[in-house]
Amino acid sequence: MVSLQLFSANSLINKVMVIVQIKINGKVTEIEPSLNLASLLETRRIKPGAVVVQYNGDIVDKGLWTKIVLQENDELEILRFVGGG
Amino acid sequence: MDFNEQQIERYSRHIILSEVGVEGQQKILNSKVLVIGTGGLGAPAAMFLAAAGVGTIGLVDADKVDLSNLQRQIIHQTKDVGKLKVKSGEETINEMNPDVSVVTYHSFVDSSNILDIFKDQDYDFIIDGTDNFAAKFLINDACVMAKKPFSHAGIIRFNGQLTTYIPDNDTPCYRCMFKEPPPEGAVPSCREAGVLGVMGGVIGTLQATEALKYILGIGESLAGYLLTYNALTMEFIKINIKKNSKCPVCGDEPAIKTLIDYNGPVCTL
Repeated sequence: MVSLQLFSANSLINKVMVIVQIKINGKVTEIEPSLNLASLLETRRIKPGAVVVQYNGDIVDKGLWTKIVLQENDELEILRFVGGG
Repeated sequence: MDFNEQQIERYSRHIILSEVGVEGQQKILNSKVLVIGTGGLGAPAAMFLAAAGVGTIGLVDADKVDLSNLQRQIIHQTKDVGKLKVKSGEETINEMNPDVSVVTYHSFVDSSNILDIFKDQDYDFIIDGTDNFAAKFLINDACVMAKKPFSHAGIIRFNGQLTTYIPDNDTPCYRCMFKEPPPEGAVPSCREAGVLGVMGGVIGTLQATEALKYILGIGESLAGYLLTYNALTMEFIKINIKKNSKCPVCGDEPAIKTLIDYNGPVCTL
């Protein structure tokens, strides 16, 4: 019994460890590990042409999105183009 | 400071504010604000500025009032359908407050006229109430070049955003955030995607607030921030944005030195 409980606890810890916590527009969000910026937007169905992204304080060119692998505590601001009036 | 009795009564709720007072109200009466676009954003912005007693309000628009405008463009009424928007706006303001003199520009802004319109009354503050990216980028660039403070805003569906640009400051401009207009078709217009009528009221009124604070020299502006509003979740998020030293118009080595008409016949971008 004891060993089984330990096993469960370990697998829980493993599960926790593989989730990366970042901030998106001020909200703590859990994402898969090794996710790059372009893939993150894709999983959220955000059209690349409709937004710009500020990554840890700097707006990053779209060309760099696939090269930025998101790490624990990264801060993203996804800014949408809003042109109506 | 020579207010007449009616003015003292009209502006009494301003004058009683220690941050405004008689002096502040005098500043408002002496101020000149240009409102570009008299639609969802420009209508409430212009009306609150008029009610506040902004002495000169410029209205720029080439459109006529359409029935589909009335769901949100509250400066125009049913009787105004078919009328020039600047004319309809002028009439509403004149009825609201005789202290305000309205200057109308029956035109859309483009690279050939925008700086002349700024100069016409040497406006103190500009409000971007336009509904397209070509105009929004043009207004940004013109304000950076002419060193005019302005409020950028946009609304679509249940979302709105705004920021304030103050020249000669470490303020990011609109292009520091959004380098260039989005690709054709990437972002819908209000006509295509719809907009909840009140969005212009919320965001346009915030633009008027920024103008009044600038005129009064009080509080903290949205310079350095993009404020976003989602009406469905009722969330306001204030995002800190840095000035971009590589910004094509306000950066250290600006590539843009003349105004661009993105939709115009001379557009090559």
